[in-house]
Amino acid sequence: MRNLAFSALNKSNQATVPRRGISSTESESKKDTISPPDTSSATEWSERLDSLSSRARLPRSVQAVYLRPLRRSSEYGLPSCDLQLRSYSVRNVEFFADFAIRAAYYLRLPVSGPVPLPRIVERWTFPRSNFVHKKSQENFERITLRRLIQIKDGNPEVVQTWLAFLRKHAFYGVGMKANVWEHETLDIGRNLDESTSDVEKSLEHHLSQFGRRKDGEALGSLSNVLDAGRLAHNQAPLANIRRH
Amino acid sequence: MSMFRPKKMELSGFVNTLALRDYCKRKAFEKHEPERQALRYAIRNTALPQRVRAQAQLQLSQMHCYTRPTQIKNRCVAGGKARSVIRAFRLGRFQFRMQALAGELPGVKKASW
Repeated sequence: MRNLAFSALNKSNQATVPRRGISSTESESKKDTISPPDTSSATEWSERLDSLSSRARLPRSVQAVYLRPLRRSSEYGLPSCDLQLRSYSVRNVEFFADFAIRAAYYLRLPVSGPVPLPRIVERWTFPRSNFVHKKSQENFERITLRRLIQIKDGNPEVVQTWLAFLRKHAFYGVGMKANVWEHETLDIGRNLDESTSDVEKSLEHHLSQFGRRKDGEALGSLSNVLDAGRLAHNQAPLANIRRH
Repeated sequence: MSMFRPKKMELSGFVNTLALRDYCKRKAFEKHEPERQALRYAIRNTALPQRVRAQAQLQLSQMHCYTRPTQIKNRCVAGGKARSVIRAFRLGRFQFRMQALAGELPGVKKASW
C-alpha cells in the first residue's frame, strides 16, 4: 500500500512538472531514495529472524509442542487409571487427549493411548410438521466420539493430581470419566484390622445417632401399626364409601 | 388436588395447569414412596399373617392416586406437550426439531446415511 501511494505521488509529480530528459531520471532517483528504506527494513527483519533462528532455538518444552507427545515407559504395566474423554467434535477430543498425554508425561506417569473407542450414534426420526403429515419426516443424529487414555503404574496421589489438573483445565465440549484403581500390599487384612479402631472412633458420632424413634415404640409390631391405622374401625372392607 | 400442592414450588420451563399438576404428583409420589414400598413389602411377604397382608392391600389401594408413580407423565419443557417427548432432551418432537435446526442442542445434526 505504501509503495503504491509513493508511485502515485511520483506520477502526479510527473504530470504537474513535465520536464523532458531530466524527469525520468529524477523520478527514478526519487524511487531509489524513497523505496529502499522499506525494502531494507523488511530484509533486515527477515535477516534478523533468520540469524536468530540459526543462532538460537526455542526452549525444548516449546519445541515439543510441535512434535508428537513424549511418553514414559511403564515398568509393570499395571493399569491404575482409565480416563475416557467424550465429545461431539473430533477436534476438541483429539486436542484434549493430546493435552492429557503431555500433562501425564510431565508428571512422570506412564500412559498408553489415546485409544479411539467405538462411536456412539443416536438417531431420531420425527415428522417435519408439528401436526400429522407423517409421510414427510426428518432424521437427526448425535455422534459421541470417545478416546481412552490409560495410566499404568501410577502413584495414586500423582494420578489424582493429574486428574485435578485436567479438571482445572477442562476443555469446552469435552466430558471426562475416570476409573481409578489402587493396589494394596498382600497384608491388607492385617492393615484393615489395625485401622478398625480409628474407623470406629470416627464413626462413633454417626453410630450413636442410630436407633428406634421414641414415639415409634408405642405402636410396637407391624400388625399393631396396621391395626392402629384408619382401617382399625372398618368392620368389613368396602363397607364404607371411599373418602377420596 | 390442592392438598398436594406445596406452598413453595420450584418450577421451570413451560408452566400451565397441567405442568403444575404433574409437579404436584411428582412431589406427592416422592413424599409417600416409603409408605407405598412398606405396604407393598407387607403384601408380598408370605411370612406375615393373612389378615395383616389383606389390611396392607386395602391400605395401599386406599392411598390417593397422586401418590402412584404411574400418574407421573413427562412433559415438554419448552411447549408443555405430553406426547412424543424425547427423554434425553425433555422436549416434544417439534420443539426438538426447531431447536436442533437452530443449533441449540449440542452435537445434534441432520442425519443422512
